[in-house]
Amino acid sequence: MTTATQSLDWNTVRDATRRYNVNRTGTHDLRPYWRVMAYRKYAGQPECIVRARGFENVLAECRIHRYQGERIVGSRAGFSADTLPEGLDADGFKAIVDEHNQRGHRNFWSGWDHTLADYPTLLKQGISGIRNQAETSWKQHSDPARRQFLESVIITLDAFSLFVRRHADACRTAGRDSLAGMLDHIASQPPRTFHEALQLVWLTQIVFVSEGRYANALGRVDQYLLPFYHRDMVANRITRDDALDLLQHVWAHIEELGEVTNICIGGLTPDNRDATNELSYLALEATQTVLSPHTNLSARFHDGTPETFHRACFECIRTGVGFPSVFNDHVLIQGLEEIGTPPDVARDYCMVGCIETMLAGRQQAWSDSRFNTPLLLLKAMQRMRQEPVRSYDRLMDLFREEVQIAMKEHTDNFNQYIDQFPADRFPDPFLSALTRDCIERGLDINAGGAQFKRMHGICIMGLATLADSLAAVRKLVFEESRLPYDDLMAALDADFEGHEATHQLLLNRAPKYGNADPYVDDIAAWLVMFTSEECLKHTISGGGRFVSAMGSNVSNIPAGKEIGATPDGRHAHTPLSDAASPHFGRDTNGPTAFLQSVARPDYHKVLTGSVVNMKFEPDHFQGEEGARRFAAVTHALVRDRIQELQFNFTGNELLHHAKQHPEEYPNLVVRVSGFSAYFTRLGAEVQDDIIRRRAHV
Amino acid sequence: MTSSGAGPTYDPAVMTPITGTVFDIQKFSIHDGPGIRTTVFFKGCPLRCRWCHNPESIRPHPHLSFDARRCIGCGACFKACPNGVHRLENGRHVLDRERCRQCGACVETCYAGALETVGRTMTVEAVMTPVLQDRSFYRDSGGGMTLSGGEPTLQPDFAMALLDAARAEGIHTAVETCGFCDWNLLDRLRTRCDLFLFDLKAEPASHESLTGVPFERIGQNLRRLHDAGSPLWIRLPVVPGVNDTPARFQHAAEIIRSLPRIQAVDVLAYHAMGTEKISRMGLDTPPLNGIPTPSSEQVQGWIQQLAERGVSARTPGSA
Ligand code: SF4
Ligand code: SF4
Repeated sequence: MTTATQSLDWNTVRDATRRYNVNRTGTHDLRPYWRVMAYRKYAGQPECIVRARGFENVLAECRIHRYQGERIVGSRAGFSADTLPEGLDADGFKAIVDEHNQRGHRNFWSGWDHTLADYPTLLKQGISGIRNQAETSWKQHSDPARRQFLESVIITLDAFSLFVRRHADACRTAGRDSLAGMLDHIASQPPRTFHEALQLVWLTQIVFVSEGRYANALGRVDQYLLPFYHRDMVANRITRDDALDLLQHVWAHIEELGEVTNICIGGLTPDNRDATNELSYLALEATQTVLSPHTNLSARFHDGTPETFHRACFECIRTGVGFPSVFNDHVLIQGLEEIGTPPDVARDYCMVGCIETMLAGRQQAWSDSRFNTPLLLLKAMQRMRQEPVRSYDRLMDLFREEVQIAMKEHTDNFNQYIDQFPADRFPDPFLSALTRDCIERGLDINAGGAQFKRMHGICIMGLATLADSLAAVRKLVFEESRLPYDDLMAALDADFEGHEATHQLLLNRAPKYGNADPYVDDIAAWLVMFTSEECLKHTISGGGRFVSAMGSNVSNIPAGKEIGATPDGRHAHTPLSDAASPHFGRDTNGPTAFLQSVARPDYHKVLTGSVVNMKFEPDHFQGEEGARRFAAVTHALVRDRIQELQFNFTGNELLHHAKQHPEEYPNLVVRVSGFSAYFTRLGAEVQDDIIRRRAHV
Repeated sequence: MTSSGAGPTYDPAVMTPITGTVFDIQKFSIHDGPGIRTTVFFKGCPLRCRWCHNPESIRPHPHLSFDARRCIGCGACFKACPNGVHRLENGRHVLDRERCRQCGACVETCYAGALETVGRTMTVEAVMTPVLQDRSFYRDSGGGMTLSGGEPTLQPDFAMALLDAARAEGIHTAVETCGFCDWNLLDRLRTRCDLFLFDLKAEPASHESLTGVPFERIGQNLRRLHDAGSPLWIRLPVVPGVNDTPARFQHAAEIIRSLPRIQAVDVLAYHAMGTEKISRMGLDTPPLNGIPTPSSEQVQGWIQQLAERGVSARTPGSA
């Protein structure tokens, strides 16, 4: 009895998936091989059929990998092997991979990764229900191209079904009969229970992985799983703990994927009620117990979000896992409605990848690209150098012009690029099967099948770098006339070498974003609105919107490498400010001022989403008092219409780093019983002391 | 403008602006009373605690501070100072502080921020502007404004005007005091203040040698505040080897137990940080040298000693 329960422990699964993730290098990815075998066999048939056959062969040939004790099956491990297929040496295998790659493949930019299936429909209808729809649609369409497309859809659905059945067989062989029975059922029929529903979702995710898609999301699990949970509860088939355990098993599997898997909870329902429910809380509990860096939990908040949910999110965040990120429904829904999304659909948004807004199961895959805005400011500043009359207004005109020119070029380039991926040569039948309206229309997701067109996020780099730079130029050069323009330019050219006083002037005598100073916060607000409206002026080739994004992840580092020193006092080739956050270390007035600054810009047109990283001392949020303090933060998000926040509870690691690199953390405030200090201005001994003390907390 | 509740409110239109000297306004202050607070640090203190960690608070007037580590050697201050305070001595930048008139000219030219004037004269309105910015955070977290120092009772009119201004806006108010002042000052603050954070620094026998003032009046004031019904939190600074003796804990515990309406007791563990600030300020208060910052086990030990004497204490902000 004890062994049985132990073997079903999600912990065991999580440890195994973690090990897999660490050790998987050195194996051969066999998916190209299996696809090419099918491509050769079906050569001459329409492209959608050939691709569907390739898809089918991967799912038919791959090894079914199981983890000891798992309650949810589905692994990526079976797509690769330590040995090459029989009769192939390394060169022969490479030739096949080359043949595969020559055929080409959709990628992140042409619409492939960062996607999400229409899970509500899949769970309601089951694989066979969707297949029936495709058959019905086939009968209704007479156009041969549409019929071929629908045939390719059916091939992929049958392949999916077979893949599920292969898992059933594997479970049966291993003596896991009840799991096998469930899998047999969902191989064709709609799931009946919470467990079956989760299992079907997870295998769909694995199929996406079999196709080579990356960073696919689970979407609003607490919404589409809720009917199953309720039914099981009423029928006494499940307990809360049991449901939690199943989620933990899925979360443990996410650890195996080793890639960002977004899970969305809370928010509003399509009919504008509070959507938070028991499963929202269970998802939080699963996240704070499994503690995987890949379960990227997103919590949606709105005016009517219950206090208990604010609190439960905090309990998860305080573990240090960094999740959930918190989002403001009102800001995001307003933006989606403004570009023509019906209100009920807009309210059903969720995220893919890190923070990117998505209309789940209704839209083409998401993509983004990097737009180095501070580079354009430097260009504008160089241009003004040549002009006889210089003013802040003139600089703004030049900057606007540079942005407009670059934006046109950027979107033209993007459109030219994706025009190389026409839907007939790069069909996507499986994702089409799981995206609303493709089957009814008989059209591929990228050929006008999807209910909504794609969004491409243009990541506006270095918001704070820009705002701080503009504020410094405006105040020091033009308003106070402390710094002649030519001197500023000379200092920037020299990366402040020999201009240290100017450097210090720029750093210390101009306002910095993140301190609730309207002087610079208003510049940031203008930048957000201006760049977002510029993005929205352009249309994606084939339909869809370019929208702005302020969520640069770590691309602020390479983008910073591309450009010289900036008037905010930033050294050449060092990172730009990250995403929509104030430049790290320059917010010196504490978190409340920080929040007031980031609430200043109106983000509703930033439709891809924004990232504001808040770094906190864990000390600040201890005990009951800490929970109350944190509630004030999430309430500020909702009330002040901040779009997104995420929290990083800094600990010893950061302090060690700050001690080694004090220049990066000039204003890191540490609190020590009853008083506080700037960490990097303390002597080494005192720093060690604080680090040592913290180790005991 | 009419007053919105009991007690007078500050009205800049009809009153001469009251000003005070403040050395810092700290937002998101979480160790000075409940919730998220803004702490206004008053300059000037009647005590000279040997472990003082806010030495910038001691002198009542603005004061020049120099942090050599931030100095980039630009030489601007040498030219700016009319009194020749800044000098090079064997290649080292030294300050002839005797001659400094605190005019701030050098500070203005020091872009590196190595020179700072600690302390500003501020109007009530100027203090209230940042305080009011965070109202919604006070409301959501149960926080408010704390006057600390230094010693707020050394600038009583300014303190009262700030408390009135905060109360008129419905903001919770707290005052941290060492208790060494005339009772009538505390009595006047009392009616405008929702919470006192009252420091007990040492037991009577060593109080004067450690803080420069005797304990007697402090003890009386604490009792009177208590008897008058003021909500009280007690703060116990503890410095290892100095005031962590059984006698000290015994004394604190006896007082606390005799005042049943005390709501909380915070143990403030010593930290060596003050010694650095003192050198920056050019102050000669004898710092406590060589005392290591206590470990959290030590702090827990003190809390335990208090517990054994019937007092339940905690570290601030951790309730
Ligand atoms: S404050 Fe004035 S007098 Fe004092 S050192 Fe600076 S410039 Fe000289
Ligand atoms: S002005 Fe400041 S940075 Fe320059 S020499 Fe004087 S103290 Fe140093």
